[in-house]
Amino acid sequence: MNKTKFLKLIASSVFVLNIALLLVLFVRKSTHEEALLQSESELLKAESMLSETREMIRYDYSTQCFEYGEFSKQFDEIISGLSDGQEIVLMNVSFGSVVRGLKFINDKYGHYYGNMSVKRFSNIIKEVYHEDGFIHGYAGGSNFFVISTNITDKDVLMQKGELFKKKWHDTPFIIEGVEDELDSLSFYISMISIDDNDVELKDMRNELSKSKDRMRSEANYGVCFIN
Amino acid sequence: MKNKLLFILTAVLFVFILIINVYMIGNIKDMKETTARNEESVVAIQTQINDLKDKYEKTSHTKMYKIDVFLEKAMHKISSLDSDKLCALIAIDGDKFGTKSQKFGDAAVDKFVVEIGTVLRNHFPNQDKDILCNIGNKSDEIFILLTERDCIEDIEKEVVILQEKIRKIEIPYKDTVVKGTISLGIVTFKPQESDFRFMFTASDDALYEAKDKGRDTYVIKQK
Repeated sequence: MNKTKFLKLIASSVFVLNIALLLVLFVRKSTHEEALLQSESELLKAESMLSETREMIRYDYSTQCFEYGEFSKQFDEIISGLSDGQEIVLMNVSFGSVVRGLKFINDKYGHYYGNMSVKRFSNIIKEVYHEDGFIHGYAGGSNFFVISTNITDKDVLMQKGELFKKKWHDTPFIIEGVEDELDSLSFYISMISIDDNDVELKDMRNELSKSKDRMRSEANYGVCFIN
Repeated sequence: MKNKLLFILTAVLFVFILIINVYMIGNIKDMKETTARNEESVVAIQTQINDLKDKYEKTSHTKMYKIDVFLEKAMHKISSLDSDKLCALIAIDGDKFGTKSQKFGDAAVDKFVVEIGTVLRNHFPNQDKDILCNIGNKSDEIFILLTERDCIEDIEKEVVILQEKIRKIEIPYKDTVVKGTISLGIVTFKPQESDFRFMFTASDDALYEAKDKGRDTYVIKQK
């Protein structure tokens, strides 16, 4: 074989290899494209799940009212955005007297029913305060808070308290095999109007709590404004 | 002349293909890197989701299920059990933790409860089989659902080991250590024969009996 023939052979081999490489690369490229597309779709799915989870954890698992930390954040935002003459109403809605409250249900009937009673109460709260502008928060135990940004008229909110009483008695709390006086479980709604940018939730909570304690010692249910 | 033209065309084609190949190699490398980055991000996001879900479903201190999550998981687990093996609901309460709080402060007792949580999670690592619940964030009231046990004796053995582990917990406080004990009320039942909703009161009753017996002990009952 002479030199020219040899070189031609080498050149054509390289050429063929080059084409073969092109084919291999085409196949690999399509495989990697598929993997890339799949990873992008998984990433999008994961990102959407993350944002759903972030939204989900703003709420309390059991009551589906805002978790208290989140509720507190919203309260601060609303308060700091209040303009002159604008007001909101903060409510503490709770159930159970000193001797017949959540602990009573937990101890006497077990935590399953204790948990049910909290869920039942949260459902009534969401039904009564269902309009836009009501923000529901769960503070643990049998304690709920509601912010009312749209409805601030005291008479209207007192009427809602009466509606609450009706709902409370219309949806009896039933424990299988128990014919107890659970319906007589008390509930209390204390409300406070706020038109000041500087108030803090914990101070308002203390005020509302004192009012609740007063009502608890006087009657088996109560709805009141403290200012 | 014709050969020369053919040669030039072939050479141009060769170079062209070569350039495409080089480009494709670079492109594939980029795709591989992007895919790897995406996969890493998915794993990181998944970890973040799991952390958030944990925060949603578990108490922040003891990392045990909140009561309502526990109820759902426990009832689902019990309804899925078809065996005639035993289940047990254990109610646990710290002995005189209120008095300890007054003596050592809330922070030391909180740490003790957190440590109880760690001991329990390590003792029952299979959360699909044994489900742990802490009633509140800083509460020393705990429920455990044990499933698929062969006999009461097995459950008793576990309880005794658990009590011993709790007795060994020491939380440093100033120049001393905080130690503590727990009381346990246990109710055992067959998954298909009992209504789980009523097991809470049964295990609570057993717990109060254990307290009445002088604490740091357990009472086991069969349904």
